Amino acid sequence: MSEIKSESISSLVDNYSPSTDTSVNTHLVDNMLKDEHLSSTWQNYHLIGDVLRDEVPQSLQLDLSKTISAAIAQEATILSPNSSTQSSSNSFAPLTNDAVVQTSESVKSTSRVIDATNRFKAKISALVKPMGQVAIAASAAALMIVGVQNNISDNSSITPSQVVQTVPLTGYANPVSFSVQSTKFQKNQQGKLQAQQVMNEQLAAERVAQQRRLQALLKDHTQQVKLGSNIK
Amino acid sequence: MKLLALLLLLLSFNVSATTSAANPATSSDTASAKRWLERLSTSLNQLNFTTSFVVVKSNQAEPYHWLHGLGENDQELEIFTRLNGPRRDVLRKGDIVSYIEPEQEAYSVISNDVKGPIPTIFRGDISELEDSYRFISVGRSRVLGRVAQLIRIVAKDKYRYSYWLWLDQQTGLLLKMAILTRQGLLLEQIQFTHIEVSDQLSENLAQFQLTELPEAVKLVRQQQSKVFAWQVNWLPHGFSAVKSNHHNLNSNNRGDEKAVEFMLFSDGLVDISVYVNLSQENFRAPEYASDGATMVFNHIVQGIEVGVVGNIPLVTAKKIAESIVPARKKNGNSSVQGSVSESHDD
Repeated sequence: MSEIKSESISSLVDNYSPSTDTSVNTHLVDNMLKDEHLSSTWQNYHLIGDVLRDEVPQSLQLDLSKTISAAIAQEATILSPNSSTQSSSNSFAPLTNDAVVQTSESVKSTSRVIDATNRFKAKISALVKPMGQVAIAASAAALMIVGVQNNISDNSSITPSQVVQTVPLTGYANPVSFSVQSTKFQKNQQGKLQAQQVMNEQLAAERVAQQRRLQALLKDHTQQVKLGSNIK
Repeated sequence: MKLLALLLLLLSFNVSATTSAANPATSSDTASAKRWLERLSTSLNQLNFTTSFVVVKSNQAEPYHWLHGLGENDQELEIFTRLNGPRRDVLRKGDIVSYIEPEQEAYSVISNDVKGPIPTIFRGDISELEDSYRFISVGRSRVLGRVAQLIRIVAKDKYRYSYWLWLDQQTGLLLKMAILTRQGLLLEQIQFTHIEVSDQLSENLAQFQLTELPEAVKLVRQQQSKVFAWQVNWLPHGFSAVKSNHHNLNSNNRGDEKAVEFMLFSDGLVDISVYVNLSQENFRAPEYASDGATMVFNHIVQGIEVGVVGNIPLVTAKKIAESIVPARKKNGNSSVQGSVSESHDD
């Protein structure tokens, strides 16, 4: 008998309808719930299946059901927000009356509530999702704007080379832009020893001179290119 | 599901199309690329178009308007306008080109060269470039909402940059241009944002046709007898001298003008300026900066200050600068041409 039962449990685990023997079939689940041996067989088969499919979690908690039921049993009457509605509907029974019934009922109702909220959330999220994407895009745009503004403020803080930068060029070419590095260097050094500052000023002056030289070349290049050739 | 299948089908078709396009001998690719470039040239010369584009360099973008059309007697009319900052226009009527710039009074030059952001060679005879560049027709893509053909103008040596052009299949006009290093690093881009081709001359150009351009500057012809003290001993293959003169290089009108000997070279697509003068300093380490694809290089070696500017990699600028030697008295600057051929590598 038990062999047949365990066989049918095995096929039940594998999602096949158990043997054609309906007497076994119909009562199998009920029997299993009652018979500790059968339920442990059910559990073991599942575990074997999990191992075969390589779905075993890293830390194997063999008896989850026991710990859960223990936790439920330990849990006292919950004074959760929905327990108020519970108590109003159960107002005839005193709160301390039948803890087991009370908890089981409250568990049911909370599960119902959770179910409802889940469904509600799903709906909301389905609704909100596209909006959220838009929001992400918008925030990305905002980031970009912030970034650009940062850049601008960075540029304006370039004090020593500003003079050079504002001098317009003749051609289409834009001001030579290597000055950022030098100013950063300068900023970092500011507030340090004066000797260093003097050196920095010299460096900055040198940079400005260098930039001026290069820009003069660039400017003249664009100008000369425009004026065309005289050899032909 | 259907959509997915369709997509897969499309993808496989695309792949097969590109592979079949890549398979035939490269010569036919080159030929078709050349045909595309010739078509670009005729389109740029003959169509009435109104376009906008943006030049994207290292960290900045500059918008322009570009109009072109044929006026009375098939005279070419062209306007380049920079849209940001102080006004900078280039106007062209036939072979008179006027530059309107904030720093100086408007002036005109008699030339068929408009020195704007788009190289003028694309309007001219593209076969001039065959010496130094290869043309490769690559494939199709979508640019500016149109079907575009990508043509690469690839440098034959490591001393210059490559140009990628996306050309409109319908009109043959330029839709996008990119300047890249040999390693594929993007230096500068021109992206068109609007293109309109019409049979009629656009209103702006019709108005421009009636306005008078500033008088053309009379360019002083350089006397051939003028002695040049320096000469460039090395140039990448394909570059030839365009002009040379002595003039003052003014450093931002600060009064510290210095006389330089100036030489301009071109390979058809790229211009290189070389400046040479004696300096009080004996040595200054090489300094350089790049603005998009434009390299500016300067150094002093043994009391000779050399500056090199152009759309060239740093190696080229450095090599040119290092090749400056005192001119041999007899040949003058014509020796440049003779020395050019030695630099044929890769």
